[in-house]
Parts: sequence; structure tokens; C-alpha cells
Amino acid sequence: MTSKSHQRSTNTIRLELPATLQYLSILGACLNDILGQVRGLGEQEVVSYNVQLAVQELCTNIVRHAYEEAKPEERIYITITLYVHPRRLSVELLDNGKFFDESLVQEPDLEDSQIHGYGLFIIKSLMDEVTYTRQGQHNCWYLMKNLEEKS
Amino acid sequence: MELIITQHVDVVVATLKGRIDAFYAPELREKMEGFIAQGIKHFVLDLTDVQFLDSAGLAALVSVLKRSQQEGGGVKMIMPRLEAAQRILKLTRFDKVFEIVDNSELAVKSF
Repeated sequence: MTSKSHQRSTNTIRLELPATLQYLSILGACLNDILGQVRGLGEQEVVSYNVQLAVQELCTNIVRHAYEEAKPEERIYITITLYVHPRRLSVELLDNGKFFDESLVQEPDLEDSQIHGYGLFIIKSLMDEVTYTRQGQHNCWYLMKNLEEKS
Repeated sequence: MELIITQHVDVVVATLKGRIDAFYAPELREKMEGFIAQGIKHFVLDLTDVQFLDSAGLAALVSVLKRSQQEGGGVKMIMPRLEAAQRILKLTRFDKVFEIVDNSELAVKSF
């Protein structure tokens, strides 16, 4: 895990999910419950939905591309942290799958509907920070969402 | 995901509820392909009660659109009630790809 995990936080939750698509709803429910505890969050329903969607898109990519949908015995290690100052939520995901080469990812052409290629676009559009690093045999993703107060 | 099918002669109304995501998208795609194989080419996708829609779910919906258009038909869509899901359809501009309608009765008659 990166050093960002060690900053002062109110809550850290760790999940270890099998690398299959069938448990993604558990992750969504967990994120929804955590964000439901944040008081005075503006557009709570939209923020919660967006974070769930971004994290789910990333997990789907890990299952499909990093693990090539063939390694259900493998795991996705997820650390969710709610920080107080400044108020934000971070989600770190670690897997042992194939290296992610962003140069191979094409931006979707929004003028011409296509069937694939929206995952990373959605993740980057919905989160305030998205970083990827390869650490040894691990893929490490860091997603962060600022949690602004209701104005 | 819950899928309720209502058939009106040559138009299928697919009412979707719950999660339309990477786990359920193959099932949705397979069922809709089954109707196309039976000769149905007009669809109304009612997303009113969809609670969660990801890019794989969107891909399944676009797949129905493309396949129906290949057969000379089309797809009309009722947007989700949930504002967050509506925003994702707008972000990806799928609200411009599908013909958006307000209710399924009018949509069925309009084919």
C-alpha cells in the first residue's frame, strides 16, 4: 500500500474480494454505507453512486484484463479510507494481475457510440484523482473523491 | 437485475429493474439476442427502476440497439428515475444515441 494509507483518518475498511464479477454489489453496498455516514455531504446520492460506479468499473477491468477473467482464485485487495481534513474518500485497489498499459487504452469517441472503452473514461470523469503504479508484481490503483459539504 | 418482458405484436418492451452491471449484462444480452433471433426488431427499454448501470450494462443496451438497427428496427428508451444514473447516460452521451421516450405505451404505438 502507498504512504497515503497512513495519513490521519477516521475510518479504514479493508476488503478482499475474489477476482470475479459476482461480488461487486457487496463492494457497492459497502461504499454506499460508508458515504451514508458522512454528514452534510452535498448531493449525497449522486456522490455515492459515482464512487460506487468508478470503483466497480475498476474492479471489472481488473477481473477482465489484469486477471483475464480466468483466475477466480485470485483476489482484489481494497482499502477504503475516509479522511477528515480535508474531507475525502480514498479507495486503493491492489491486484497481482497483468501490467496495465495505459498507452493501449483509447479514449471513447463520444460522437460515435461504441460498445467498449468507457470504463477508464468513467473512472477519470467521476473521481478527483486516479493514479496507477506497478509495484513489483502488483498493480496499485489509487482513487480519491473530495467530499464537499452541502452549500 | 430483474427483467420483465411484455410483447406487443412485433414490439418487445423490456422493463429492467435493479442492477444492470458487468455481472448481469451477458444475461441481458443473451435474452435480447433471443428475441432478435425470433424476428423481433423493435424494442422499448424501460429503465425507470434501474438502480445501478455501469459501462458493461450500457454496452449491453447499445448492443441491442445496433443489432435491432441491423435488422431494420430500432430501440426507444425510458430514462432511469434515479438522477445519478441519468447523469451517466448524459456523460457518455448515450442519451443522444437512443431515442428517449416518456412512457412505453406511446413508444410501442410510435413504431
